[in-house]
Amino acid sequence: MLNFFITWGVAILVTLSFFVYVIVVAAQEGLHSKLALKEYPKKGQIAIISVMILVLLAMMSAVITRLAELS
Amino acid sequence: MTATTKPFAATDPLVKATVWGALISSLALQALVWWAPGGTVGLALASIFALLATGPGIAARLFPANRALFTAIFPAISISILLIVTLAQVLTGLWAPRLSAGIIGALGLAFSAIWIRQNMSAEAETPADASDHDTVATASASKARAIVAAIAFIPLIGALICWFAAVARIDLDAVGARGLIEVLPWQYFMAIGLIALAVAILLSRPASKATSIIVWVAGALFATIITITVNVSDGGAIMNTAYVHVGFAEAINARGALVLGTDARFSWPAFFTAVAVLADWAGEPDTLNLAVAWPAVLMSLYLPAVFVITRSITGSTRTGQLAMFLFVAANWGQQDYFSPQSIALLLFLSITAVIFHEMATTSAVPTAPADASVLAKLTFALRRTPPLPDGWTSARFLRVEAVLLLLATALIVQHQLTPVALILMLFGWALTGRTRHRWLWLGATVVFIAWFAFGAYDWWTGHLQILIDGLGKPSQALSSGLSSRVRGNPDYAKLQMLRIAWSGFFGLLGLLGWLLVRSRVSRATTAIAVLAPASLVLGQSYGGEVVLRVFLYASPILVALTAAAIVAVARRAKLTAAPVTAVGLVILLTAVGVVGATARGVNVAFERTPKDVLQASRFLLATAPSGARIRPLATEGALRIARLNELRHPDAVAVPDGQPQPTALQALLAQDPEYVFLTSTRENYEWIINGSPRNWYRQIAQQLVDTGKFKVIWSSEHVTIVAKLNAAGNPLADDTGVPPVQVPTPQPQGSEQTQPQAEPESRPQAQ
Repeated sequence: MLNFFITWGVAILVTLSFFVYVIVVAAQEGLHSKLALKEYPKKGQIAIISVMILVLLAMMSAVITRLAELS
Repeated sequence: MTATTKPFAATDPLVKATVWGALISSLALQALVWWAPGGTVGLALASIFALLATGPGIAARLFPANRALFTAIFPAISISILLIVTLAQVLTGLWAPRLSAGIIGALGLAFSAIWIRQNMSAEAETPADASDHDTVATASASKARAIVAAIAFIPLIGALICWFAAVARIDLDAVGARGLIEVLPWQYFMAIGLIALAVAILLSRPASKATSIIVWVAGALFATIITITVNVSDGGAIMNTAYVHVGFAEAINARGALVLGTDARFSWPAFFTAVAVLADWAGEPDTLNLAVAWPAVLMSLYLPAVFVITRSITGSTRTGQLAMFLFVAANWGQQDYFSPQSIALLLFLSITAVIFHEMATTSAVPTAPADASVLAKLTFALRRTPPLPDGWTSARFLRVEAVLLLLATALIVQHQLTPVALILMLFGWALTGRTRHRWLWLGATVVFIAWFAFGAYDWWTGHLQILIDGLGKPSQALSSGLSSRVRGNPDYAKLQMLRIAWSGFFGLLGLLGWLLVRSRVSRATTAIAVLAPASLVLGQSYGGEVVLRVFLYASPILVALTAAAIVAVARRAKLTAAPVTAVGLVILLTAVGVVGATARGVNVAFERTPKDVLQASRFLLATAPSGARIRPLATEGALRIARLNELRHPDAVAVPDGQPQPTALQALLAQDPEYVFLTSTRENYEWIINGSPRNWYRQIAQQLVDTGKFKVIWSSEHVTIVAKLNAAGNPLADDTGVPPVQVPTPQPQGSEQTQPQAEPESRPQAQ
């Protein structure tokens, strides 16, 4: 059961992260008016970077937990 | 020099021609698959079509007027698409090389046809970026440059002739602990000198498009001479791991699936799926012949990216051209052999070249106020997003981002270590606000984690402890990468020191160049490009190779800075007159070539693969029954070109505590092998590294025969195969109760020294 949740958890996190990546890059280049960032944002990017690092750390922990369990 | 500035850049003629080549290749590929001529011709055509089909149409859309950048990136795009398409096929159970050819052909046709259609209707509507500054020269200047290019071609032809003569005369059997340098004939050095002369003629004049192609040709010839002299002379590839990779590709094509649970490399299999498809298109059963020319081709493909990186850092075309030659000579680690890492380096270099180019062509990057505190400057850098490169639109930038992510994805699914170096570098640049690709590290990391968790599952689940144990032990990584290499024969140890010193030379001059160079590409940017890969030593020893890989990934930056340092020192010493520059370049490039050849050739005595070793291995693979124990299957790559998992290396026999260590013969007999494959190259390894007597293997073969339990079944110049006899006194393969596996049996070629030995009395004579 744990394996199931970790597997799907990682898959969902990876997929969400990829969408976040696409949206943020598109926003940076002004392709999405509501999300468009200014040329030199002061707080927005830092906040996004912080969140993404936390998400990535969570993903890494999940992967390592899963592998440790299986190995 | 007369030049004009153009608001819109016309498409480069070479770009146009290459896109037309892509269109033709996409169609010709289908004909090749139907024809399947086999042999070297088939493999060469398959490789050329694969390289040309899909990349040019995309690269031309990104960089239509920048010849160097276009040339740096289109092979990487073509290869990436091939890697991803073939990997997707094998993972989805749809393995069908003809389908791969159809997909690649359709994509190539679409990309090139769309680009041609758009550019036929709207010629020269592409905004120029800032480095599309290859000047439009006057007619008289163009004519003068064409004459210079023609003159430079003469020594290049001479160099080629000298090299052929050197290859014909070289006696590789005489290579000992001093490596290749001790057997190189004078024609070899003459060839290097003539290339240096041609380059000196070209670089002592102002750079132009007319001469740039000749400089690249000189670089490719230089790469050929430095990287594949031994391969061509032997008829077999150096680094016998290349043959293990040949076997992996053969296994995938034969099974239509990955062979999981066998080797860690199957967890990053895209290289093997791609070359398996190439072999199938060519109508060739394996990729053996690709391995011989592979290092020269790959090194030649690296050169445009090295040029772009150096030109971006220094702002100088000629310094960029000089750096190409330094790069060839600097990389003695031979990671350009037939392997996933050779392709990984191409993708890594292409991504790096594009980003460096963008940095060099972005003006008005905001900087923190000079009087700001260090913390304020760091915060400012963290928040900074550089503007678009000059002349670019957001749409163009997004297309480039998508292509870079494609290259990163291909890199991630075919090699373990290189993506980590790339992600660290991208992250470093994003944190310091140096690149507008601020999120590419994130995109690459997401793909990396996805592959790590699901694609490379087979390896990581079994090796997690190794991964964790290696973390945070840089001294272990450095020890296994440096000090443990300096051992064995005193002459050999000195040459290993030379290799380290040669890398140190580029490190020191690179540091000098880093201090001297002033350009749009900041010092922080180049420092990150070196430090990011260097930080890998904190993670893993990577089987004792991490130091080599660190140097490999840092080398494009180091040679760029070294070239910049050499040019800066020459200018400060006022050695800028054309004749002085020309003489200096001849001396410099000849010296660099000789030292590079020496450093690269240190291990030739035991890394080469003579042709009869391949013939003997084919003979054994065609006759040994399934499950046969062959020593040393684990270390002899030539024995692994086919029949993966069918044959095995005998298990080690433990010596009980308190018992004396057995002799080599006793240990061998205790392992009870059915075949013993004794090569002069492995014997050289034992002699040079472990101090064993020369001709030791001949003695072992004789001793095995003297036991009455073994018989020599093959004896040639570099190989002796000894087979165990059954109760009836026959080798295992001759036992009618054990039918041999039906494997295509190539006949040993008819040289006098290469004959299967049918009778024990024809056993080899000790030399």
